[in-house]
This record gives sequence, C-alpha cells and structure tokens, in this order.
Amino acid sequence: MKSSIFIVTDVPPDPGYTAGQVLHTIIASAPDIHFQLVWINQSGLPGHVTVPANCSFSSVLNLEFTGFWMRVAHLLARVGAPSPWLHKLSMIVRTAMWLAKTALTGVRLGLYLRRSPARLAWFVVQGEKTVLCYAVASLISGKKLVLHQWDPVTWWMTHKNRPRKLVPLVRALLERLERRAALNIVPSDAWRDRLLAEGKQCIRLDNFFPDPPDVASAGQHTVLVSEPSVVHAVFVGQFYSNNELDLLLEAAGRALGGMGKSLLVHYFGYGSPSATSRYYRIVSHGALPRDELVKRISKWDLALLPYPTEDRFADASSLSFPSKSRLYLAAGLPILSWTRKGASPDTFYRQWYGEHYHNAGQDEGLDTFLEKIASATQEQRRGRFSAAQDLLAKKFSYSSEFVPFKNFLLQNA
Amino acid sequence: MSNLSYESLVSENRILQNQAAQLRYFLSGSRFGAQVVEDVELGQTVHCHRDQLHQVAAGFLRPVNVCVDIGPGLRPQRLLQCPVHLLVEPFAPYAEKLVATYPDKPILRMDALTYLRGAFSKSVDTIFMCDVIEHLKKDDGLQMLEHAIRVAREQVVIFTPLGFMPQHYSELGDIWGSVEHSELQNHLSGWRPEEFANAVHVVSEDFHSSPTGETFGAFYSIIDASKGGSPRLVLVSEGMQEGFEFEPRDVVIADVMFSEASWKINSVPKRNLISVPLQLIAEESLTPAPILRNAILNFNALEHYLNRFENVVALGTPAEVVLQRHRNGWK
Repeated sequence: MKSSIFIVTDVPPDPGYTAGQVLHTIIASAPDIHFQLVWINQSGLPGHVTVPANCSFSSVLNLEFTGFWMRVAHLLARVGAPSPWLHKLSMIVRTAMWLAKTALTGVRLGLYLRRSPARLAWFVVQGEKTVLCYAVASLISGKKLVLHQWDPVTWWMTHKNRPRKLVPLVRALLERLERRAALNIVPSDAWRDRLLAEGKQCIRLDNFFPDPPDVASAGQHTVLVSEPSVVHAVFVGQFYSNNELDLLLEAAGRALGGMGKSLLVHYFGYGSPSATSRYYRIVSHGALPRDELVKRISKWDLALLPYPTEDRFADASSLSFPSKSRLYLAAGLPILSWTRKGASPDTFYRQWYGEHYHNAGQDEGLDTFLEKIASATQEQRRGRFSAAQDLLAKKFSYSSEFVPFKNFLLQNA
Repeated sequence: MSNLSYESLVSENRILQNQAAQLRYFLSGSRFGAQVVEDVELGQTVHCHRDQLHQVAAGFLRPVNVCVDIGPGLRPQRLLQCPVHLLVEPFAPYAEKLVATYPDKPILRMDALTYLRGAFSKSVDTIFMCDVIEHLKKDDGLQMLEHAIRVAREQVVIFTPLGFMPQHYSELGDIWGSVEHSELQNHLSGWRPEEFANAVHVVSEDFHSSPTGETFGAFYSIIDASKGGSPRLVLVSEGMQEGFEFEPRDVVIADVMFSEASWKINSVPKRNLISVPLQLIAEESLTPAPILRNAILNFNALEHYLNRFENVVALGTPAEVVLQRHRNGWK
C-alpha cells in the first residue's frame, strides 16, 4: 500500500499555474507516494484543475466570506464609508470577523487532518491568511509538518489592501510554524542558510529539472537562431509596469542601438504588453508549458531578469528566487538582470554563472556584455549552453534538489 | 528458358528494384522527419547540428504540388514529397541512371540555365538546387538564381557548402558507385547565406569532412519566391549606365532637366515616375532641409520615397549626392 501525505495549498498542483507547475512536478516525481489535496481556494480559482495521477482531492476549504457573512461585511464597509471614525471601527470589526473565520477554518482543517491516518502534512504558504489558518491547524492536527514557502510573507503583506498592522503577529506565527516544521522548503540558498542558522530544518526546492543525460554534449543538438542586426531577448512572466523592466529594456535597447543593432523582445506570459519604444520591439507569444517554453526560447540570444529594487521589497528580493531564471538557465541563455546588489538571484548567478550574467542596474560594462552576446559564435553559444546545463545539473536537477526531499518523504510518510 | 521469358524476368526484376528504390526513397525522404523550428522569419539564420540539417530545413518548406529538381545527380531531393517532381540533369550518365531508378519521374537532360531561361514565370511551385550552385561560376550562379526566383511560385531551395569547398572530379573516386565523373563535378564558386536575400538559412558549420581532416559547413537557403522581391527606387539625374535596364516595378525619380534617356523612361509606367530637380538639390548642399522642403517642387515626395525604399539606385552624380545627403540626414 502506498504511503499517504496531505498537501494543503492555495494553488492547486496544476501546471497551468506558475506555482502549481512546481507542485505538479514535485508530486508527479514521487509516484510511490499518494498525495491527498486539501485546496484552500482563497483566490476563487475555477474548479477545473488537472492534478497528477498520484494526487486526489480530499477537501476544498474557503477563507472568504460567503452568504450571510459576506453581506454583513459589505454592510459594515458601507456603514464605515461616511466618516473616518466609523471607517476605523468598521475595519476593526471586519478584521476581527476575518481573523475568526480564518481561525475557524484552521480548526476545521486541523480536525480533518487529525482524523486521517496520514503522518505528514505539507502546508504551502501563500499570504498571511494561510499562515494564520495553518498555525491553528498544525496545533490541532498533531501531524508532522512540512512548511513550503516561495515568498516571504511580508511580500504578500506589502501589497495594497493588506492588513500591514498584522505583520508582527503573522511573523510570530510563521516563526513558530517554521520552528515546529520537520522540514522547511524554500526556493533560495540565502533563505535556506538563514533558516539553518536559526536552527530550523530546511532544504531548497523549487522548479527542478530532470537530470540532463549528457552535460558535455548537451549543446550540440540545440538549434540556434541568429540575425545580423537584431538581438533577440526573452522575457517570461508577468509583464508588469514596475520600473525595473522598463529600465532594463531601455538600457539594453539603447546600448544595442549604439552598436547599430536593435532589440526584439519575445514575451511569454498571460499579459499582452502594449509598451512601445524606439529602443525595442515586443512580440507576444502567450504562455507555454515549461518544457515547450525552454525548447522554444533556447534558440535566442539573451534572457531578461528584472527583480524588485525598492526598499520595501528588500526582504523578498533577498530571500525569494525567480523561478523564471531556472528556465533561462535550462535554455542556456545569458542573463541580463536589473536588480539590487545582494538580491538572491544576483548573488547566485554572480557566483555560479558570472561569465554569462550581468546586472545592468549595478554594474558598468553593459555595452561590452551585449557586444559579447551579439558577436558570439555558434560554438561559444553551444559552450554556454553546456555550462548552463552543468549548473542546472549541480543545483536545480532531480538528483541535486528533489532527491533529498523524496528521501525525507519516504522516511516520514 | 527462352530468351523472351528471360528478358521479361529481367525487366520485371528491374521494375521491382525500382519500386524498392522508390519505397526506400519515400520512407527516408518523406516529411515525417521534418523538425519544425518556430518563430523564424526571413533574414534569420538557424544553426543546427549536422545530423539535424535536412530535418530542420524540411521544417521550413511549404507543401506544394509541382517541384523542379535542378541537377539532382543520382539522388533527387528528399525534403518534400511532391506529386509532380521534375528532374533536370545535364550529365548524361546521371540522367540515364535516374531514368532507370525513378521511372515515375519526368526527367530532362538539359543544363539548368537553358531550362530556366525557357520556363514561364511563376510556372512551378518549388525549385530545388541541392549541391548545384557551387558547380557554377559566380556570375552564372547569380543568373540561375535570378531565373529560379522568377520561375518559382512559392520557394527556391538552395543547398550548398558554406564558403568555397574545393572539389575536383578526378579526386572523387567511386563515391557515387560506378558512374563516371566529369568536370561538371568540379566546384567553381563558394557561397554564404547572406548572399541570398528574402530567405531563411539553415546552417551546419561542420557538415562536410574531407579525407584530410578539414571540415566544411553547409547550408540551406530557402528563398521565399512568392514575394517577388521589393520594388526598386531609381534616381536618375544624368546619362544612363551601359546595360542598365528598368524593371516594370521600378519607381523612378528623374531630374526635371533630364531628357537624354527619355525614351528609356518611357518604358516605365508613368504612374511610377516623379520629376524632382535633383541637380538643383545637389548644388544647394549648404541649404538646410526645411528651406529645401518649402522651396523645391516634390521635395517632400522625394524624402517620402527615400525613407520607404530599401533598395535605391542612383544614376548620375547629382542623384548620388542627393542619396548621400538623405542618408546623412540632410546635414
């Protein structure tokens, strides 16, 4: 009989979602374990999701108000609108309602887990609501706990309409959860090292790739495209309007313009960028599954990696790790970033991929870096692909990243 | 066994052999092996491993009904399966072998230029010239290419070594069986992808390896013949160059004082002809562009056309000066 594990998550393990892709890969890579999914659908995602064969829906919970309580919350918001004093009062009442609802969901979840024979519960944290809910559930359930985080909770709470005054409370709860967890899962070395230094059990695990069959000859069969007057760059993800992306595109476009070349950006994601500039052009390709995406982008010249530079995101940029950069690495592309010094991808790629990495937000020599890319021979490009595959094998592969987690699951499930 | 039955058996055996050859040909040469590379546009070059070269090139071909295979040697093209596949082979021993091996294909024993010169414009879908153009002198190759683009409706497919790869027929040995060779097998020119406009190029840098250990690349250029090239802008200010011919799609900007070649300009449709005082503009080299814009007839039209056309030809010194000033931003 297969051992069974509960996975409690906001994002379903469906490859259609960015985070879901990671969960899907992890679950599908452990076929000898059965995963029971408890879906905390706090974002109101549609119910038709695709989960791996060894995963089944166990329960769906909701952290939002529904029915009578939703009407009460709307009424309170309307009552609070006319004066600041009433608004404050209304906010306090609604926050109390929200805390109660989340805690009660936590109790329900805890009891549900407690009744099941599984020994291990894997909690995936996404925002402050899940932290509160999991804190309660973990106390009641009495199960061994795996705590999975992608972004620091402060990242979620920095956004608009978030209860920033609750940051200390949520941090304290999270700290307790991390300490209780038999294993913490985080996406970056920096974050893992910090938790290990605090005496917590931790591994780094994110969107890992299968072990490359032969790293030395990996680049030989890669199809590459070149165009004399154009540098083809790739950007994957959300085409957001933060400054970093604009600055990066403009700097690269301007530098290439000075060399008599133009910048063509291939965008892969759900957005439809409408940015127009004389320094660059954008072609939108839509979103693609991971492996298809890697194959599609590996023929071009450059990957773009903007990452938050604002002080309010300092915590997030130091601890999180952009999953898209792993795709860039799998495609063997050089990476041009715009981020603050000390951001986790900056530290990582400087150390391990320095020859093919440049942070245009901090370093001089963008012209030289782009010139090197534009004039690279096919042999050099293939060599770079092999170097990237080598790094992928060492850091982000099944053997290097997933096997330790799989061993933990087999021992504890 | 009588002579008659023996001959009929031999004949039947030959047919069976041919059918087996055809089967092998279709199995190994059909489009099933095509490797599609997405997002590639005209003017771009795809670099791949030598094992993938034919498959990647096949992925760029549009399916068609009628193709002409120029100089197939003993092996007709295998990239595209065409219901009508005409082979044009100038070398008699090869042509005879082709007749025996491919009884279902029409075969012409004729040299490529003769065939293409006589062919109607846009009369076939695709023209293949695999391992052909390097056997011609550069000028002949360019001439053949020009005709091929004229004759093809969809695409012209060229496969040739990357740069000049020396080859003399006396050194070939029996690599193509017992068929004798001739000087036609010598390489006379070398080609680079950038010499073929309006095309997607598929390159392998180490496709050929010589017995001496030297490696040579090879490439496909798949020229889009459906566009017929972009029209040309011709600036005429003085006498015509010898041998210059107007093309029907030319847009001509002629100096107003220009009259010597008016009989030639008459051959160009009048809707494509604009008069501009090119000599006057050339002489006013210190006058800023805004003043020229206000003072000179059709100056705005001249700028408009110069901005739009990529292919511009200047005939005569004033025309050349005007073109140069435009390229310098009228400084």
